[in-house]
Amino acid sequence: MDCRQWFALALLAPCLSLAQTSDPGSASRCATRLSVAFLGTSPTSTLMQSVDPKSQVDSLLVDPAFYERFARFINATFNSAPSSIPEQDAAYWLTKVILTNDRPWKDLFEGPYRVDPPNASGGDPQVVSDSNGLGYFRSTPWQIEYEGNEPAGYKLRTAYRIMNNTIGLHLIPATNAPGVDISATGRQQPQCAGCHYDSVYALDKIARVLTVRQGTGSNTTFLPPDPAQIPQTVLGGVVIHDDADLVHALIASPSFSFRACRLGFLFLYGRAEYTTEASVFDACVDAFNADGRIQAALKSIVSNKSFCQ
Amino acid sequence: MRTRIAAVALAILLGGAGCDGMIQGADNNPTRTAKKAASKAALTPPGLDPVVAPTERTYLGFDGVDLAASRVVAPAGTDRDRIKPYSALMGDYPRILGNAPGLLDTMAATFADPGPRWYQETKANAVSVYSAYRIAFEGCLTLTGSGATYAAAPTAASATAACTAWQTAFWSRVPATGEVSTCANFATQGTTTETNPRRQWAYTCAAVATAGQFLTF
Repeated sequence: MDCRQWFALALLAPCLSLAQTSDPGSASRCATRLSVAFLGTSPTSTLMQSVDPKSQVDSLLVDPAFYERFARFINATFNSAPSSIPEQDAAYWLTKVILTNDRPWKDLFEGPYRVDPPNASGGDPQVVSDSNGLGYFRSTPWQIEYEGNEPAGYKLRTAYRIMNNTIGLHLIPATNAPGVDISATGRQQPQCAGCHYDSVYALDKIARVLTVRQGTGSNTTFLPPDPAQIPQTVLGGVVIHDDADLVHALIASPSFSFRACRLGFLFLYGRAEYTTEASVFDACVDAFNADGRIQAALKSIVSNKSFCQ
Repeated sequence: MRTRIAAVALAILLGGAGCDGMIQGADNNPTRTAKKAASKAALTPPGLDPVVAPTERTYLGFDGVDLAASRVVAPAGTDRDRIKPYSALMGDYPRILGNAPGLLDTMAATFADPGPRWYQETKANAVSVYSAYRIAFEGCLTLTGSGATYAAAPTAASATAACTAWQTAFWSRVPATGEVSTCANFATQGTTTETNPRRQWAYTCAAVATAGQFLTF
């Protein structure tokens, strides 16, 4: 029966539907999109020949190539450049552990881990269990990388990086003229206070509960914060006593799941979601909140039929 | 849900009375509703399902700012073609050509393959596209180096057949008539300065393998 007969039978809709779906290459294009997006590689012959490539997503999510690609993506998103010191790319190393061990995404930021330099015999940096760990945020190499250069040792840069990595906060630093007072007193000037003191993300307030840098580079040590400065009230009314309080509050907020799904879109689409894709995004947030793993967020996004269209 | 039903019911009642207004998100103005529907349809290109309506859900940051405020208003499902990374091309050229062009191994820097622990969205530029053509030509030359079909110069008929086959295989889709004819015209008219038929075919093959339909995913 051809289309004219379908028309004669007044079955226009099924005929059009048939025409729209008769695309013999759609499955292999979908296989390519999935494989390159998740693994960065050409699809396997098995995936290429699958009539329903999306049914293979679970396999892609446990592929070591996915661990590697996603860890690189996170590292490049959380840092402005690769470090010449491998252990300073702590997010990369810990992301691989989180994915490999099927751990909740929040463990990247608050899990009992620490990223150490390679042992004496060389090799890769080591991710070790540490009951005092806070994701990679208390790893010494990472702390040194983001210790900043505040004159009194307040770790403004660390405060910002913690918020940027967990919830995607983006602040644009102001450029100072030579000779401008960049001390805590100077930062209270109106043009600086917006980010440093007045905002719910007040960097100076948050930095007061973090350890204090002493020295620089390999000579850096971190001293306990001044008890007189603790606690601080930030994030619109959250009382924090230390970095753990800060991270817990960030992770418990809607901003955290929003960030997870925004990362998912960036990874899978190469761009953020559009307004018109909000329903896909909302489904991602629901999936992530229910499951806790970043893999659930990614799977939710590609499960929508729009991904392979 | 109860609130929404009540709002819709109220909107119907008010609509019947000729009232023009917004009731908790339900719009009872038929002209405005039609405009919104048309606007929504315009954001969905032909061939794509309307996944896609902006939702009412909002995500607020600690400062009360809508986290989704920066979303771009654009048709759903568009701007999807991403340039394949070098790591994917390493497998894709052999997959479509049946051989591994030797040039490919030397092109990591040309295609901006990121270093250890790093990632970057691949961008196309003049050098990378030209290099892609060189790689494809090398592989295509091997492909067309044997076989009776490629021993003779392309004709309209043979070029149409070969172009259709290559475009279908390389692009994973049936090419449009215009795409086939463009390719066939190139084979029969754009390669005539080359006297070796197998190289004529290789140039044609390489053109198909350097199209965006292959280099993007």
